[in-house]
Amino acid sequence: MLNLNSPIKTPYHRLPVVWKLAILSITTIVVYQLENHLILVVLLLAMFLLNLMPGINFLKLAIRNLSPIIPFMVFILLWHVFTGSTVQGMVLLVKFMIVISLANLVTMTSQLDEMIALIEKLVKPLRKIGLDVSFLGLTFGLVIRSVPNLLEITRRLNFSWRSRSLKRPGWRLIFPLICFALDDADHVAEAIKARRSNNG
Amino acid sequence: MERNIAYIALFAALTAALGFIPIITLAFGVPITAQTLGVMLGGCILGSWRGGLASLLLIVLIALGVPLLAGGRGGLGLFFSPSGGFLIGWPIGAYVCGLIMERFNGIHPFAIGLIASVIGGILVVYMAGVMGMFLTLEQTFIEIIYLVMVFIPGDLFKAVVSGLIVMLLCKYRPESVLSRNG
Repeated sequence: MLNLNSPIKTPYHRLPVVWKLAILSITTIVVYQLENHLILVVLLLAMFLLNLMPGINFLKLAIRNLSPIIPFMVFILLWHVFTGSTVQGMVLLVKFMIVISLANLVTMTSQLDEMIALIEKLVKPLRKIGLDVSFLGLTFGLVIRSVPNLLEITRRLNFSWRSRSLKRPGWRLIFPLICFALDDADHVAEAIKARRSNNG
Repeated sequence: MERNIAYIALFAALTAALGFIPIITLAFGVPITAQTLGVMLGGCILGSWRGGLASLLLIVLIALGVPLLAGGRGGLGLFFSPSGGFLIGWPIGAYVCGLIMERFNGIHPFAIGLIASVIGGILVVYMAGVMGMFLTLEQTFIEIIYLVMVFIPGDLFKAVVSGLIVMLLCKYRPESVLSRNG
């Protein structure tokens, strides 16, 4: 399964995830409170430089990761223009760009296993109140393994449909797909049970 | 226990996979995917807590940077954008869908599946989404409601599909509809 982590190693990768998340949280709170346009522009420029420092290829990758959000941003700006609050819209857009590009930087420079390890650490205290959180890592792995499987099943169902009909299958594939997923869930449950009993 | 883990993980994966299937393509070429249908179905089929956990698991993985949101998106940035509230609304919406299914067990599966999907999958999710937009966009509630209205017809269509799927499952494999079996 693909992830949004950068293959280009940067100094940011060496920072502990918990620090990066703390910086992100503090920056978000501060940026949304700021109203000074000059400081906001300086912060936006700083964000651009932070993304540029590891090299132009890293910057291109960051822009590619952020590109799906661009249409929504344009929509928000147009909405503000339409309602007669263009300046307010532009200030908001700058705030979003700062926060979202910093969040993207954290995502790109933090390994998935580090993030999962952090979550496992955070939920550990729940054991004290009787909640079994030992299966968390297994559950993450199961989802990541199952998505490509389900997409492959969808592709096959799509071919089967097209060999019989000229119409697009659309929502009609969802019911057989759910049946496959439910069958798979029953098999996975058996496998987990077998593994647990083997481990005593 | 094992069955619950498997069902929660598989439904999170199913919801993610539905984000890559266009169920309708609008006249101007924008595809509407079935991802929120996965949220509705998670609650309607698995029940309140399992459905809620399936959606929660998916949004945690999205936040961790796995590109499982429709169109291959992911990462923390999404939660800081104005539409982040919708994502946070998913587990709550799925939970409410499941709760309605569990409480009104005697009603026809299509009717209750549709009602649960409209209340949990649309009303609750939109309430969280609108709240998120209200906090970030500095617009009035009414303006934001106008802004999101355009997506309601597509979601109503998904709620109907959700009702149909619940009805088919109740007919052909009732043992899989955990919301009705406890």
